Amino acid sequence: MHLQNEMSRLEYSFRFGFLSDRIVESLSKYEKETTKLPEDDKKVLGEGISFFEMVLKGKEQITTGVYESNALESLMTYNRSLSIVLDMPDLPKEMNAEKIEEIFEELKESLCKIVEGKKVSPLEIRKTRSFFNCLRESTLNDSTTIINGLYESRRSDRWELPLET
Amino acid sequence: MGITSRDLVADKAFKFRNLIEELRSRDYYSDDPKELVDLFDKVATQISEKIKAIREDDDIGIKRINLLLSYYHLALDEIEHIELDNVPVEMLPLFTRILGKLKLTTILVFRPNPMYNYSYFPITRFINGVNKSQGYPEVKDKCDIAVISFPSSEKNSTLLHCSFAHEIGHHLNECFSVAKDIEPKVLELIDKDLLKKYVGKFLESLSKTKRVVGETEVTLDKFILREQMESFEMEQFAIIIRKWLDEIISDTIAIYLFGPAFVFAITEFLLSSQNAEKYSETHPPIFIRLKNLMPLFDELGFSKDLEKYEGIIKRIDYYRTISKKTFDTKDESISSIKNMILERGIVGLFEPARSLVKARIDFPKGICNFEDSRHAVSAFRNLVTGNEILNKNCTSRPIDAVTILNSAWIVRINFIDELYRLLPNIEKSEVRNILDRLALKSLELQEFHSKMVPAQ
Repeated sequence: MHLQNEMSRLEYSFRFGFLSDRIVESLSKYEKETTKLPEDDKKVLGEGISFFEMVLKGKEQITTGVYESNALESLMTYNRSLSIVLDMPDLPKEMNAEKIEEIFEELKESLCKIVEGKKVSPLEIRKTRSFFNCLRESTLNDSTTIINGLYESRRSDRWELPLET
Repeated sequence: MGITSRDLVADKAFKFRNLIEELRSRDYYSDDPKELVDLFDKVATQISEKIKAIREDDDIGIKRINLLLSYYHLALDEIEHIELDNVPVEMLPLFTRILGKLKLTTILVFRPNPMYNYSYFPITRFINGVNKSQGYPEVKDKCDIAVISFPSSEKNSTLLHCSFAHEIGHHLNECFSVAKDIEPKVLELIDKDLLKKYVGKFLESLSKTKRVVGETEVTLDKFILREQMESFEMEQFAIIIRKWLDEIISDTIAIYLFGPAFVFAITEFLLSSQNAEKYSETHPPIFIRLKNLMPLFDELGFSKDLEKYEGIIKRIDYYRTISKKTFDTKDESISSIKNMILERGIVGLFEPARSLVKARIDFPKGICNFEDSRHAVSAFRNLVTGNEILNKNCTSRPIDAVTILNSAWIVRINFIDELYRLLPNIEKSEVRNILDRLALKSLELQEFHSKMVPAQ
């Protein structure tokens, strides 16, 4: 058994959890900063742009049926982001795949503008921050569930025969 | 000021470091577990820095570090089970040789698992994955470290430990990026018509459940975006098939490393207590694993090599019967459709996986020497270690480790009744245990012999 299921899920939740922590931190700085955003923060937001590129790649691969390397991670990231977007307030009444794609493009665009030093409206920043805040919470919940499960499976009074190699 | 959540996490990190120090002072079967302790030491330093840098009001950030620490604490707990004399060290040179021939410098740490299971955990890769997202550099260590666990109660079960080949297979799968490069095919091979049918059935079941919203009665399917559901189910199937692919590739690598001994070990381990059709999200059912392994068994010539052993042939036929099972059915229940999607997906990956394994990994030629095996089998049948072939001029040459293990398996399956008769006053389990110990001793002597200076 490769301890994959829990481990890769845990790695995924930590990876995207820490990333969203850093993005929210950089966005807060951007809101407060009157001067130019430091290069380190621009780099973090650049990772946020790559994140949305992966999301959009996931969507594209489902639509076209042409899959590339990292296809699964793109699909997982797309689905997770989709759930977050569908839970966000101020959504249009009628939602469909195209509208959702537009939202991802807008979120990506707002990060691109910040990195390029262009002006971004407070509403755009609020939306982007709200997305990554939801991602922070959902990844934190995932990590908690997985780690609790790992501790539970090692309770001393529990005798298990998982028999999976 | 008082004690804040951040202080509590800092305390936890402090205790984590203390535990690392305590583990560093212990004696292990080799220096390898200490390399793992050093790796955790580096991680502990990074976590302490992270705690210092975090804002006191960043609740989510603090909780996340706390969770990471809890997880590393759990991982560290695994080292605690390793003691000086509870690892089958006689088998380890074989794995070092395998990795060496493939030019891999990974440190494999072997750990007795209180749970009855074998497992593989690429710890450095996990840490590096998490580090990257925190903006930390990769942990630069002497080399990659992975932990291979085995059931603690089976320390001396040499023959069952042929299952280690599968865990090494996981490692090679990662190092040579086999499953990763086939991943796009996982999604391609999901039967889209069946998937639509599966989602349709699910939505149909929801359409029968009514709820009152305001003054309107609606069915639950109206709350679901069909596209979201299809994409989500696609992901769920892809995750399962991707995990199964890791297992199939590791099995394929294992048969190239250990030959029939691996197939005997893994099936004995699994079939002794679970149904051939039982599966989990991480592991395919045994019948699917055998469906992949049995054609390889024939392709590598093992059926022919072993044809003179009647008991072995019977055992192989039994495996073949199991491998013919299938989930394919005309039944269109939701669970049958699910099983069919999974089976079709994974079976379609057998061939690409085999081709890539053969293309990427330069396996040693001649997995098992069946000519030498005759001598080892004969020795084991006489309760003598089967590690060498005596020449007429009173010199000897060692039998290779994989051949020793295969020979011991031949005796266990084909000649075990003979040993029971030879030792009538000993419990049968004890007789089997003697064979295990003989095999372990043979590996130890073989290793010693291979290092001896040749006679002038």
